Amino acid sequence: MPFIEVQNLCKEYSGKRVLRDVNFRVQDEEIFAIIGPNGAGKTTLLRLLNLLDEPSSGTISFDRAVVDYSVKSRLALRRRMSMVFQQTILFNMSVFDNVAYGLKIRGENGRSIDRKVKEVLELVQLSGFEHKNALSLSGGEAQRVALAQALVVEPELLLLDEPTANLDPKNIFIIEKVLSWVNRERKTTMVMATHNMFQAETLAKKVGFLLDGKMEKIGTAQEVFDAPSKHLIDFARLENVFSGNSRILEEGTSLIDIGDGIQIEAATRKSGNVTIFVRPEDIILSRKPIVSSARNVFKGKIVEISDMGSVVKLKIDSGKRFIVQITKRSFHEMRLNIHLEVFLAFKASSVNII
Amino acid sequence: MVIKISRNLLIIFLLFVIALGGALAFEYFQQPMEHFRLATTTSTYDSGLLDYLTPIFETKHNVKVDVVSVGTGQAIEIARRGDADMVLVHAKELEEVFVRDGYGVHRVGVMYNDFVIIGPTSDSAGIKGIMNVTEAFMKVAESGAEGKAVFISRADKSGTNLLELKIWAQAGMYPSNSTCVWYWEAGAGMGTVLRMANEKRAYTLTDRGTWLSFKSQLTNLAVLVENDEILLNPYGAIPVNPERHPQSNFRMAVSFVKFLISEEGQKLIADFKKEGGTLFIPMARNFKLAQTLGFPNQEQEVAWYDAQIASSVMDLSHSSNPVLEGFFKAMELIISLNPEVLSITLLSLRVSGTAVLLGSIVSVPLGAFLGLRGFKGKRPLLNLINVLSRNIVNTFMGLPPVVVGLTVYLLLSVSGPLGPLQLLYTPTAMIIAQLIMVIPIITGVTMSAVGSVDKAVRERAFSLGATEWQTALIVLREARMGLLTAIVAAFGAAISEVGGIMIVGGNIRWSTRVLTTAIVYETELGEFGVAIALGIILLSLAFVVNFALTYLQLKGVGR
Repeated sequence: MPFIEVQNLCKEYSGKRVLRDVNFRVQDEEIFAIIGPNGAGKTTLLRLLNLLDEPSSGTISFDRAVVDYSVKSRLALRRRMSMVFQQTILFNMSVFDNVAYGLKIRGENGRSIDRKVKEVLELVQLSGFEHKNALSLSGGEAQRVALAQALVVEPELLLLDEPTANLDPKNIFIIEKVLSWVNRERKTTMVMATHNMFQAETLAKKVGFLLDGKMEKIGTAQEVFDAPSKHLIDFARLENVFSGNSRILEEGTSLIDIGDGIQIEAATRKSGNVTIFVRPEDIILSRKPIVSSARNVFKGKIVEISDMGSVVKLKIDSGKRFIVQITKRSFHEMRLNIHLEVFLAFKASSVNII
Repeated sequence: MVIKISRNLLIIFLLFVIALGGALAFEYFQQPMEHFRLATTTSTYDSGLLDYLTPIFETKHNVKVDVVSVGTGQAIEIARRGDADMVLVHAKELEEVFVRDGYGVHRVGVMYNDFVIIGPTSDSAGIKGIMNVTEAFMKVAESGAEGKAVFISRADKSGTNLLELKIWAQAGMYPSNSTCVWYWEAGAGMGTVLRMANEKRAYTLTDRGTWLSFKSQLTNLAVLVENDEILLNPYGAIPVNPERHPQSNFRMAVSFVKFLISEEGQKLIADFKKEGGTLFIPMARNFKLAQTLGFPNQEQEVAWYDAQIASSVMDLSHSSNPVLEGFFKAMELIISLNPEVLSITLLSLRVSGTAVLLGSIVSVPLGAFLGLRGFKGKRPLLNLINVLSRNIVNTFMGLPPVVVGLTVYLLLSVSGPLGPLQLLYTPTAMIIAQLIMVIPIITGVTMSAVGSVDKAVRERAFSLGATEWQTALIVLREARMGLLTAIVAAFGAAISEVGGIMIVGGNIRWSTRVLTTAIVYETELGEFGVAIALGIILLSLAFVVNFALTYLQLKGVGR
């Protein structure tokens, strides 16, 4: 089936337009990542691809055959794909029974079920969990069972709705590893919704940026991220984003001139026009000049203080404006106040070039 | 929000407390009128005699007469416990024991009515016109043995029942349910027994008053034997002994008896008529008749009453504890595996178990269907049907058992559409009534259990390639604890239900008597021990069933 073509796809829910005129193609064996903020329509799009919902208008075709929504053809198509939902849903039964479910309803025989379930549990590193109740697992384990459940039927197309949202790094690592293995070894085509730009970049060959139900941009990861649109920056909630000309220094680092007399050193080598960002929590603040290994040190004035609960965000004007995040405790200990002069510092490796 | 809710709750609670306090205060200040409690048999009360006499007495003495109308046995038991100030009953032996044990004093005959044997108009036993009651009973027994007649006994230790047993004893017979198929122990009031006799074209012994009141409805029955001396039924009045129960209103009890046996009272009784017939014939001052009817000291007692100017005697003494006694009796019955208690328990289990089993077969699929329908619903008409059917199920979940019993009774009675099946007063009828009760319960709970399975579970199954059927099955599987709850709740409701099976089963000993009806019956008899024993068994059954459920639920998490 792979080779998916989506044409002029629209979906309305009780008068609200969730998807507007979406078009894209996914080639065989490709991983297509859909990124976008919450509410952009990613889940709706995946549900339409899984044939759980019908579009208000527009068409989906698999292998050039347009989907008709008869019960029979829906079932036939659904049995060639599977989906991992963002919210992990498992049945109240053992891990084995959960994973075996897709095979059982396809009428597979017991011995082949045993073998396939064993293999897939090994793949997601849950061997030995067969007889545990699925509802007693941790979030990460449960999501891996859900992945195994979807993989055991050897789908030609795997749909993933933010499969690693709210998981810890270890589980994210395992899942990402499984996904790239499956794509490489089994040649499974995947459509994955995520709001993690870096995941999209590492896993997907092609990325679509979905915003307010519209495909803003489609292309390779490079093409989409290299010149981030204002929307993409907004979505990623990136702060301290600057653009400028970069040149490579003798030490192997890059120096980017972002204007207003500010030059930022980055650990990554890249020349030409680039966009960079620095996470607010990576910036160190001090009231006295800093002597440290940090390559970037600037002097500035506090122009805005926002209380975020346990942390405080400060806007500091040092020619360019930087957002800095510190804990409330540090804020009180340093006795910071508006208009106060401070020094900020960050390492070259904290500078991300996109 | 939380604060707001709890404040509203507090206001409601305060209003409730104020209302309750107000009601209590009102009750308290309304109290000054003196109360006096009379325990009597259903026959005197149902006839309307007391409603006719007491208002006259009440205005004269500025007192409120509380009438407790129960079976003779229970009336005496109530007085024995000190819960009544006097009794007005018709059971010579019980009365004499009551007086001999020192619970009652100054027993005096007031009036009498008479009994008649009624039976089918066809009179299959051929007793019409026989003057001797004993002979008539023997003929009924003979025909019964040949399968041509049925005799229904009230078997409730009422005065009527005791008289009936006395006649059997005179005939040298001691029939019971377990030895004779033609002898039914109904354990019910006169009205019910008359209706049962009418349905089954059976014989029974009844007082004339009740017969006259129900006659128009009993088209299959007629009076066959009457006027034998043994059929005369004298009523005795006995004030409770103030030395036994010092809290009793002895003064008012004596005043009431004085009123009953006074010239005025006796005339009032003679003038009381119903359906054109005299119900009670006064006899307090007919000393000779009173003597032959079992009141040897009638003349002295009447003289004593006439000499009284209401006065009260105060003394303190102790009474035994019927609850504790009952408890010991209960333990004994359970430990010894009393065969009747065992058969009652097994019948309860059989009737309720069958009803729940059949109910589950119908209701689980129905509830699942309705519950699953809730997932869909795009078209407004379908939605409306959904909402309606859910509402109907939910309404019927609270169906009062007595209403079910009444409906089933009307369907199964001889004149009803299913009369020819002859199912009334059989365990099958009880199963039918309970089936109708449990169907909405199982359907409703299943419906909400299936409905509360996360919509995502359904989609997950769909997404993994399940068909509609396979999806329905997995949703049912996920709702399995809810299904279990449905079945247990239905079983609990069925086995503890009394109104419905009482009406359609008739509480016939060894045949349709179950735990709940037996408890009602034994309580009416004043047999608290047996009632408590049965109550303990019922509670234990509920406990075992719930325990099993909880255990399964705990286990269910593991697999």
